[in-house]
Amino acid sequence: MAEPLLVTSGLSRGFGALKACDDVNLDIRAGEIHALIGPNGAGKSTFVKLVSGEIGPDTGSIHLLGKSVETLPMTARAGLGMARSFQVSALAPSMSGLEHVVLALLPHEGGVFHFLRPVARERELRDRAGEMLARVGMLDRAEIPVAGLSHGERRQLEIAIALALEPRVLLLDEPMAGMGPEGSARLAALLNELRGDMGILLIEHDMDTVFALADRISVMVGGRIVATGNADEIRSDETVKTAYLGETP
Amino acid sequence: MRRDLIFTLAAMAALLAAGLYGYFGDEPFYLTLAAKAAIFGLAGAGLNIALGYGGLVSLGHAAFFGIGGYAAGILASHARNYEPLMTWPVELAGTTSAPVIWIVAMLAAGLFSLPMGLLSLRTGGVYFIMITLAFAQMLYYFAVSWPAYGGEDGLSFYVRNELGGLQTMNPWIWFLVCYAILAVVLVLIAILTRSRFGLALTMARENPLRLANLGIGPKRVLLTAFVISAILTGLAGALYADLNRFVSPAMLSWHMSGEIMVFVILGGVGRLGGPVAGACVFILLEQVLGGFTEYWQFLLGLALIIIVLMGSGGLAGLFDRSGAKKGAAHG
Ligand SMILES: Nc1ncnc2c1ncn2[C@@H]1O[C@H](COP(=O)(O)OP(=O)(O)OP(=O)(O)O)[C@@H](O)[C@H]1O
Ligand SMILES: [Mg+2]
Repeated sequence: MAEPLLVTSGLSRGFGALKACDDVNLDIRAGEIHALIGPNGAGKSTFVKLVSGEIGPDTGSIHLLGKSVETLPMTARAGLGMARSFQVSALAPSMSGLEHVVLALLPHEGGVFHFLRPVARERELRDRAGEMLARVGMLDRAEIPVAGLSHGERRQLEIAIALALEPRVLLLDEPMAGMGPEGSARLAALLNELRGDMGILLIEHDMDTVFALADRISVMVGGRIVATGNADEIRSDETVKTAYLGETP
Repeated sequence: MRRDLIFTLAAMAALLAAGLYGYFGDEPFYLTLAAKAAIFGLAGAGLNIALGYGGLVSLGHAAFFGIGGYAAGILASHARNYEPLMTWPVELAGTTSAPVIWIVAMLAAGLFSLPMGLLSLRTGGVYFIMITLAFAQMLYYFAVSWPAYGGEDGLSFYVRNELGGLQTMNPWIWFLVCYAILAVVLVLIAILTRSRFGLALTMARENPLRLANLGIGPKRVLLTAFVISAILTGLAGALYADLNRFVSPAMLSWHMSGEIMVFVILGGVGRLGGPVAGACVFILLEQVLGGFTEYWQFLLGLALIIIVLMGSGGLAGLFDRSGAKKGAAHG
């Protein structure tokens, strides 16, 4: 089997006495949706921050496309093909959705150090950005500053930005939270479509969505991965039942 | 965007009107004031790129203003003494050619801003303010204690520098020169803010974490903005030295940094015409209030506090709100 796109081994990070991530070994293969589930405060977002480079690990390693990246800055990891959506939307309030997506396209299109040509005239880029926005269903709201967008629309924009980066590895931290049923369904369909092109880590609390979408599921409790397997394996796993699904044996 | 343009045109029209009043009323004093407002507006427009568009609170822009001023003063004084600037490794003579002086002033300010920006960008918030301030103060004390160019007393050079065949000593001509430079720079800034770089700069200000996640380093973007900002304020410094035919360490002092910041905040942070409006009103207040009381700066301080408490936006913000009300009244 081909080497996974992303591999973490022994990844740990503490905050004071709290071990938010504790010896996490997880991998994401090409073409799969790997769901990461776990109760609130389990360390899922911390894991995403470690992998994307927002924070550094205490110990452990991260390999992206075979390269060791745990000491590389966020920008370099993005350059290697890693994209991420934030649990709490991270956007610029004064910029429109279209501008966000255009900006996301720029690193692959000659960079941002161009000072004279107005972005409004970069037709080709704007068209491509429009396509991304159409895929998440917010083309009609493309020109509105983010400050005027609803919570759900901001979630959709997060996805469009991530798509614009054409990532090999996509980390999605609760992308459906706050989207509403229609938005969630559309995103689920979109993720199904994208599955072939990249490896996706999906953090999601809704079990029906997870069981429907994920090829593999990892369960995190108290900073540790307590089980990894496909939907059936996870459903029947005793540790998971007691620790997470809340069933007593 | 539209209101920003209208406000900028209004501020520029007001400044031109002041100049015309001085010209037709045969009041050279008003022309000098108008030229000063144009130069301060330019210095503020420079700072606005860092402060307004980049969100970088620099209290060290007097360094660039003063560097521009000293570049003009030093080059001109050498040209008039016929003493070369240096003889080794190459012989460099002074010059009284304004365009050459402007370019040297911009280069010098830009070069100085590089280490200053690199160091201060490693920190944020209050530390950024303190480090920029420290750099400028360092330069200030250096100028005070360096006897070659007048030290504390400053450096006079009697005649303005030369620009083509223009009569730069004519206040009307000099005002027009400053006004034209200001206008060109504002157009360039408007273009810059609409470019790819402008987009990245907005994101660097509003959400640097996201920018990094897109693979674009926020610090590189901000450093570039800081250097552009310094270059423009340096150009303003060279014009100011020529206006007064005098430079002194006062141009480098933290008072100057504070004043430039006042132009921006008073006029509207991150607004194209803000610094121009701010500089005009500042000079107006200085003239009017300064006639009544020596404590006019105290009153100016009060006015600033009120403006900030009113939800900022400065004069540009007031302009927007008055327009919005009218728009609502007209249905
Ligand atoms: N910067 C920080 N400083 C201190 N503690 C932190 C920090 N970030 C996270 N934590 C703690 O680490 C633990 C894991 O947090 P994390 O956000 O990773 O959980 P999560 O699994 O994403 O939870 P949720 O489902 O609520 O998003 C929590 O107890 C949290 O309080
Ligand atoms: Mg989380």
